[in-house]
Amino acid sequence: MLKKQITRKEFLKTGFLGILTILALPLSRIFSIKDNVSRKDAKYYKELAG
Amino acid sequence: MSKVKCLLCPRECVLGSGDRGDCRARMNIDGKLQTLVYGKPCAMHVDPIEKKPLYHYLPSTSSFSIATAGCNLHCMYCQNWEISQREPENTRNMDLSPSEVVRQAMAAKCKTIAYTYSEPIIFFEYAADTGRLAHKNGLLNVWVTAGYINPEPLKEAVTFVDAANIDLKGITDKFYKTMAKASLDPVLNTIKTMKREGVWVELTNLVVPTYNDTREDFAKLCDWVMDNVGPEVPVHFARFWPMYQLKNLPPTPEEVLTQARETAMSRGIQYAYVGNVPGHEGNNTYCPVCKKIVIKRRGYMILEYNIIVGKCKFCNHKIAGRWE
Ligand code: SF4
Repeated sequence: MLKKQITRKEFLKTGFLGILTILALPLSRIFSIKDNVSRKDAKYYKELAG
Repeated sequence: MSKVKCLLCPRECVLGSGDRGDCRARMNIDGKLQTLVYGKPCAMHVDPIEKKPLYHYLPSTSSFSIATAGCNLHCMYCQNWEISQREPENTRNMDLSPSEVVRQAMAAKCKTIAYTYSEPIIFFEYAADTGRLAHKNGLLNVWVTAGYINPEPLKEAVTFVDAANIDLKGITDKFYKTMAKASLDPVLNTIKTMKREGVWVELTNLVVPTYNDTREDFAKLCDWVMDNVGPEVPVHFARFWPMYQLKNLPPTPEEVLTQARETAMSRGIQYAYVGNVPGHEGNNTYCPVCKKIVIKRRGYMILEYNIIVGKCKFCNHKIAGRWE
């Protein structure tokens, strides 16, 4: 099997993006308008009948 | 502290100081009956008017839709129980004055404001103030309601409600008692009064397996419609989806909804629909005379429109509704 070598640059880039994503998750919760609504509620708030 | 009696709906709750009504949205505060939801909607969306569903009222337009927490019915199958069966302090609410609702509705280019999702009756004061202001600004008001209201406030409601989709959940008192802890007569009175007072009325019957899904149920319901409000009132037979306290039941089979629609047409109802089944032939509006499709729909989308100045393009028959 041919194994692709990961360069140092690629390794750092992926790591950087990963850390950024982890940091962004709680931030998105803070800025969400319905931050204190549970996931289940949020689903139904969006799909209300009528 | 003195007791107060709420006369808004047939429950007529008698509330001691600090007590809350059955709808969770009204309370006796220091001897005065007060609404807890004025200017505090918990839901606000721009919807196609077809979603209400209103199929004969300004088709293809957007409706600025709001709701507050609470409801005066407690249907076992409530599709929106997350807001209707909760106290306002347990929903995420916005601060939205009537003037702000109207401003936002106009900004969103909506022709109507819909008071929907939960029950406009229980936020009557808010809906009334918003509705009157909407009229002053050239907007129309749509209620999506179970119609469980007392005659006096209903008299007031018809002065600012322009169109309504009223739930006719079943046609027996027993059904209303079992399913919604309510009674049938006030609902029938609302349907008749709204129709008589010039409100555009469409009816929705949610068909629940084993509860209201027999041919006799459909026939009885349609006969009542024919005798009391006439063949031109559209009837939507909507598919039940397992929800809230009725998760044990299956969704309504498509054949049952087809049967409901066929029964309605055989009893003389001119506009019978099947709801919540996209692509069903019962999504379309047919001309009652030439039987051609005058509005072809898929779900809320209009694919074909063959009505010209309120008349069937093919045979010139007047199609009931408000089209422009
Ligand atoms: S509107 Fe609410 S408080 Fe008033 S009678 Fe009905 S359930 Fe009771």
